[in-house]
Amino acid sequence: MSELERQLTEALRTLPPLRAPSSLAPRIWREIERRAALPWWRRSVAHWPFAARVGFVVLAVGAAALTFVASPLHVQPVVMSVSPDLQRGAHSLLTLSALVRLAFAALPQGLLSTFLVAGVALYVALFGLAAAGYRMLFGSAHSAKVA
Amino acid sequence: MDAYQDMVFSTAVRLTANPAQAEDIAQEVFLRAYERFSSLRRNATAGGWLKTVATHLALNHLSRYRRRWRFFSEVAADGGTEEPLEIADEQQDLPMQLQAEERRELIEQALARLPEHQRVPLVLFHFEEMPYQEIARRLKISLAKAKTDILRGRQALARQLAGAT
Repeated sequence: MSELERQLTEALRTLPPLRAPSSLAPRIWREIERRAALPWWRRSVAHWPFAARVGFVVLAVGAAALTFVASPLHVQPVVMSVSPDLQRGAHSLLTLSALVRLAFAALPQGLLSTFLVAGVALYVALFGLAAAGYRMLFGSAHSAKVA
Repeated sequence: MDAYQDMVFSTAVRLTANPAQAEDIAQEVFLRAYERFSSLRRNATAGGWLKTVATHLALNHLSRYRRRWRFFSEVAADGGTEEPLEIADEQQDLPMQLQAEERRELIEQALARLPEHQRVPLVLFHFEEMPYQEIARRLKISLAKAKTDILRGRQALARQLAGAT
């Protein structure tokens, strides 16, 4: 170990801890109180009551299964029987998805690929331009600091 | 909390060089400790646990918020090499003649001025007493780069300290 390394090691290891700002402890207690005041459903799932956690898992698994198993034709009658508002919402959603599918089917595949490639190229060019600009404006200051 | 807040804050601020971010990290550390209060209160290694969590959160913070800017801000002229450099230690001494308090302040300021890629491994090596391999693993860099960054950081620190007197 060189002399400089020995001196630095000793100086750094013997440095006392920095004093935390006086605002830190009150701020932590305020946050603890704020979190404690939240209703259970606004806390993280780990703090939910056991029954609520089980119910949530069952609901999530059920919804996921429904997504894979049921088609819009199966779901539509169920939705319609629940509420007219929900029925209108579901109808709009189905119409929109049908329109998107039609639009994609109508477009030539070559055009789609061209748009995709052009989009990626523009994104990369913009990113490169921003990086070059940043380095030009701030890179010299950073180099000076490092040196 | 009073017994550990300086230690937790110091760990975070030396790694981030940003008191506001360090305060956020310290708050998160104590909130996590509060959630495990029943197990930590009787634990003799509570201090070690707090320090480990503070280090972990500070490193996470740095990688999450600064990785995206590395491409923009890190100039290839420095820090890009993978080879461990043989750099002879310059004939410099730390300013030992200063008063302890003044020297402490100088070192903290010089440390905060180091670029992140030198400061973080240097802090992990000297304050956390982490071995080179572990530093390289945690920072996802090669062992050679970790050693070089620590060496360069140490030299930059010594230069700054020598220049400050």
